[in-house]
Amino acid sequence: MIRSADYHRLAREIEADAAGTFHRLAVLSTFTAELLRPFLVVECQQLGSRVLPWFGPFQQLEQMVLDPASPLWQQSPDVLWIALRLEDVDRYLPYEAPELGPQRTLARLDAIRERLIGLARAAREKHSASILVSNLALPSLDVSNLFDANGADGFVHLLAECNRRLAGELAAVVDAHVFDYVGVVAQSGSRGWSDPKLWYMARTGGSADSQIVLARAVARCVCALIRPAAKCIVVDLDNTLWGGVLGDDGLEGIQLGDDYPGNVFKDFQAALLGLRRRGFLLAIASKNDEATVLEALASHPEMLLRREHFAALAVNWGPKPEGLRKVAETLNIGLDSLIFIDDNPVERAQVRAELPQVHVVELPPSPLGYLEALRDVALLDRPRLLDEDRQRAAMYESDARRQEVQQKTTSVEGFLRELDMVAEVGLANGKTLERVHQLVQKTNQFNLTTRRHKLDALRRLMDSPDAEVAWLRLRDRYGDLGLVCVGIIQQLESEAWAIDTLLMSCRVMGRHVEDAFLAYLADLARGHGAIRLRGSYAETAKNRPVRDFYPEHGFVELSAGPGERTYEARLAAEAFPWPVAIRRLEPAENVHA
Amino acid sequence: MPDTVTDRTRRIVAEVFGLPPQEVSIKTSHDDVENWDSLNILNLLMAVESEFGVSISPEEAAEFLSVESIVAVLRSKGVE
Repeated sequence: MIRSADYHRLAREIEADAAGTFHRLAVLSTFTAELLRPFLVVECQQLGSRVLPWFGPFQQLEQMVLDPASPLWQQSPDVLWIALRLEDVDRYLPYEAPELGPQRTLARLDAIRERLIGLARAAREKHSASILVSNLALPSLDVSNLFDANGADGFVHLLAECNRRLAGELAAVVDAHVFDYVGVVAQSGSRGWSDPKLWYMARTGGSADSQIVLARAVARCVCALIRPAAKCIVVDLDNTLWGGVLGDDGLEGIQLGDDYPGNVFKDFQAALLGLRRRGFLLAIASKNDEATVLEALASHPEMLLRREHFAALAVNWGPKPEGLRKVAETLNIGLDSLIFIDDNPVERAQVRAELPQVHVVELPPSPLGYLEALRDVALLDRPRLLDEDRQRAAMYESDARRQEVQQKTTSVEGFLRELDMVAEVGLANGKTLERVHQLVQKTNQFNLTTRRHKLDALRRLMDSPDAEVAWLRLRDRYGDLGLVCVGIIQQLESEAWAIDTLLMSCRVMGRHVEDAFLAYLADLARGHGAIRLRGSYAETAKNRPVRDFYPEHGFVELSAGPGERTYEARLAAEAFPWPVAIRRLEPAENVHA
Repeated sequence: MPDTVTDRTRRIVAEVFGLPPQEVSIKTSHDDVENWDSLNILNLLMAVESEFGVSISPEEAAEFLSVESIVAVLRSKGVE
């Protein structure tokens, strides 16, 4: 437990450390949020991010957001938190509600909701910062009683309805998200949330302890917005997914089912399966006999996690770090995308020592604490589920079937024909922008320039007559792989266009998809009258696989600087043909929208 | 020998205002410290409550203007 005064000292130490970069969090609030500063700095640091908070003048929300020259925008925040509380803007509404009736009460709540949505929209137009908007909780000193929820039009229900609408409307604002203030207060306990003295003296964000809880929750959200989530959860088996040791206790002897202690493990499996449905891959790293494990996964009646739920298996007697390396290699993802869950502290220590990039979950000795440990993993927070996230696990499952076909087919070309690939190409619009942005932010390996354009920059490029933001979506006989390529081309001179960005999800490497996409980009440039196409390669720690992409595609090197090479190719009519193994589909409405 | 109330209060003042502990004495007051303002009086109040396990009233907090006066408030509440 950190003392309140310690937060001040720790925060100062973090702020004084000049090495590395800070992310900026701007807070606009209707209460004295500035007291949260040391807590926010320290809690973000504990989650692995350095964040400098900035606090707008008390209650000046519109003044800051609407003025492009305001100090809010001058410091160019990475995240903006709009922290408005019901008790600060319409304090007595819960008391007036019985007299107002549901319609007029809702109208008063609607006015607040419209204000919040208006602020979010205005902020989005002005800046690319991720936006967090607190939802509305009951005033903390409210004297509600147990029967308030008894009537269908009770204030708690109207408030919930207002929050539901807020979430729906915020979802239409790109990179704007609800900060679940209601949930944070409820989890912590609304009764002790506020300290009357601090409220009446200074309109604080809660009691001294609540402010730390609040800062911790905000820190989780901020971190989820400024860094990518993990991709894969790698689990151990014995005493992690079930009680007991499969090799010793046998299929009938392990603890898994509806009674204690088996129900503890069953719930843990259900939670992992839920995370899989939210787009996280599951994999196994276990010291066991593979045949025995496969039999248990197939035939134990209480097993919720089956073989098909795991994207990769490392079941052998080798060291765990080796298993984790194999999982990362099989899935073609970085070790820093892995979360490792193992009940054995020795295995955890070994992984920590050998693979510091892997996030190791500190499981408590008792399985009763597993779920809570899982809930505390910040890298599993994902602000919004895109279709690609929901389908990810199924996509990897169909990858396994593709690999089977590949093993049976003797030639690569034969395999590619078997896949019946269909690629749809098009230009980014409002519908595709969020996925385009996601790929621009997270693609590491197949990424020629790794330029992490922010949303507003992407939107400007999309709307510019001198640039195109293009994408490619792929499906094959085994399933839809989603939007997998992003390219940005820009006019350099009247007859020369340059490829600013060319990236591809590494899941579709080795299928000529990049050739198809390059053919499309070349077509777009030709359409603008270009006769030369320029491309560059900027080396990073992770994009070595595409170092020779341009020379391999007929480009000639123009110049080579430290870490960057520039190439050019002539856009002759026959240059950059569309590959035969892929069918091309162009959406009818291929226009900017 | 355990820390006295004065020592612990001096340390809290040093931490809240980011001052070197040796520069904070019993006489240090809001006249000497630039950012000893109403916001930081709240920070002092919360830090003192959590350090000594006491509850400080708004009226008592209004006297949080020097190390000496904070110690006096604590002594009046029986903190030794």
